[in-house]
Amino acid sequence: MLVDSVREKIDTWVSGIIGARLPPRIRDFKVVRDPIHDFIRLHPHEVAILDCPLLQRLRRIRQNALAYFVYPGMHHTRFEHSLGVAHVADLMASALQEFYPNEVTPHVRASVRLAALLHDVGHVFFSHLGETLLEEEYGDLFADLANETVDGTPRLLEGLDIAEILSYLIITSGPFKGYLEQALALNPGRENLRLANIESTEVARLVIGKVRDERDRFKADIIHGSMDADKIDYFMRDCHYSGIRAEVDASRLINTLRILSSPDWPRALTVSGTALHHLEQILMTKLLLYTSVYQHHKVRATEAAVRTIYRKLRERRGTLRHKPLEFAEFTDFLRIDDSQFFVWVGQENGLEELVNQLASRQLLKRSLVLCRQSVDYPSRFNFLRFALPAETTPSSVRRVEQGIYDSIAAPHKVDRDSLVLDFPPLPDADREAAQIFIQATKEAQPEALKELLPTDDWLRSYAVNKYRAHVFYVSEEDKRLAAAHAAESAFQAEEVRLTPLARTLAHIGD
Amino acid sequence: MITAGETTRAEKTFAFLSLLVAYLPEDHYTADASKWATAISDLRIMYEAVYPHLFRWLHFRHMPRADSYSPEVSNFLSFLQFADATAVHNPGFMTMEFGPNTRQVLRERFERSFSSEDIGAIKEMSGKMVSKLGVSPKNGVSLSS
Repeated sequence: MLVDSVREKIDTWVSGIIGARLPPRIRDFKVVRDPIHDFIRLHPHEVAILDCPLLQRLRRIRQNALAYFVYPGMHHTRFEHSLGVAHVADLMASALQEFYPNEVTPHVRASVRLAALLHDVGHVFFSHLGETLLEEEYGDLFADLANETVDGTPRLLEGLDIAEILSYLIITSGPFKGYLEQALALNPGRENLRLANIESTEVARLVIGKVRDERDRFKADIIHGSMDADKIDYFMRDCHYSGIRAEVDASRLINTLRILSSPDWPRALTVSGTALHHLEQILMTKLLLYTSVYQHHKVRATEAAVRTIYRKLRERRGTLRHKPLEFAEFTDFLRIDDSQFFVWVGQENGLEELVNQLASRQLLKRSLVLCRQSVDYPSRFNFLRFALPAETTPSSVRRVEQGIYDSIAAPHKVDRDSLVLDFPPLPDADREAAQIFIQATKEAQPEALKELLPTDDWLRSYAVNKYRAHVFYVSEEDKRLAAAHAAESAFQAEEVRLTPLARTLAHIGD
Repeated sequence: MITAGETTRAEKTFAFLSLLVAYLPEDHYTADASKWATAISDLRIMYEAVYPHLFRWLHFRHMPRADSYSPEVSNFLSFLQFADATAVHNPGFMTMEFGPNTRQVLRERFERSFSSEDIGAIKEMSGKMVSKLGVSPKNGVSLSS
């Protein structure tokens, strides 16, 4: 079984990180001051678990990779986000406990909080950017793993991001299980939480949103649902640190939470009808963050720079000084954090300049902007084959890149990596629309969000109209103009006709 | 490293979804994205044992009593809309309409990516999928206008 060999590698990595370290005994609650949620209260066992090097590692992985090159405040990390998710998850569980005291017990709250603290433990350096590199390299392995039976459940890991799969495998790894059991035993706490009964497998299942019994669905929904604590925290946190003026009325939403109570339905998280416009607000915030932050052209340029460095590392495989940079195993992606990436790559022969350029924000600039308005209507159809999901580079993109490069490389004397075609993925709200249920009253029939509002359709329309792909090139304007002309011809050869707007949006012109 | 001529996972998935659409008999459907995902997920249950390579990179998230979600299907439908290959009208009446040449163009473009055996199977799958997509009467708005 593939899963056994993957588990073995994860166990080795986790064991190396934890080593002989034992969880500490913590005398009392700790309180952390957080800019988003103010005071976050942590139980002794949670502090002991946070002390584990696996969790401390998240302090060195920024939530949004290199977005701080564009939004200078965006230095926040996966660590503080994990604390925030634990806080929001507890608020959600607490709001439910008032209505369902027999189901939402202190033990359930403790499990949910623990899952929240651990949910991002599988993130690699540069968060989702690193994850796309991992997917490019090991996508087949994880696609096959998703189709396997894991822990007795067929296709348990299907439909998950690779970081989520890694989180599951890390939490259920032998060495971490041992650490967790010791942490719980040493820190029973003053409240009657029955901590000793918390199993790492159950916590891990909450992290990936897959429960054994549909009566427990709401617990997983709090951590990995369509309106979970993860989303609420990262929307609030990303807005705060980017400075973008968007609001998520988390308190209002949390206070409308209920558990589906219709016969034959899963006990899923639901909201009362009054929460509709708060859900809309959250989904709009998601789209706003995509267009303003995650897919900002300069953020994409930083990602292009990292991809270039990654390609160079692959070309030098077998000769690198820092072995994890060879990415010979998928666990090598976990061995590196954001800072190490800069330091280690900077120590590799011939890569210092590239790293220095990135660190000093010398980024590629736009030569063309490809969007719905700048690709001529009849040929927009041909554009389809370029704009495929980002984890792999379509062959059509390679052809156009080569076509542009062939016509401008010699006169400009530039490196092949100075030219990048960038096609970001499109955000969607389909899952939220289909899998968030509204139940107006206890007796009312639950309705999917999409039955009340065509959220998926209007958010898709919004996303499609805001979509921007780019041709990036060196900063000199005359060269960018030449690249724009070459790109227009190369796209024309692929039967994609661009309008003058493609150059106008890139702020270059004849 | 991917070379210029190599077909990637995303391209294979896109080609398969494109042909499923290409062999549909009509242009107008009431299904929204999650109904599409559900219909294709049902096809996987029926055909995966014989044609695992067609479904290898398609993933779904299921929830009892809810329609399925597939990131790959979502992306596919979004990019069709980007290209004006589809339009979405009043969802109470008609959700999705393919452009006048969409199915033909998809067929011409992607048939060569598959063996004749695969094509036969995909045609059969399209036929089975139709009833789940809800063929809609054409409304007053047309992509060709």
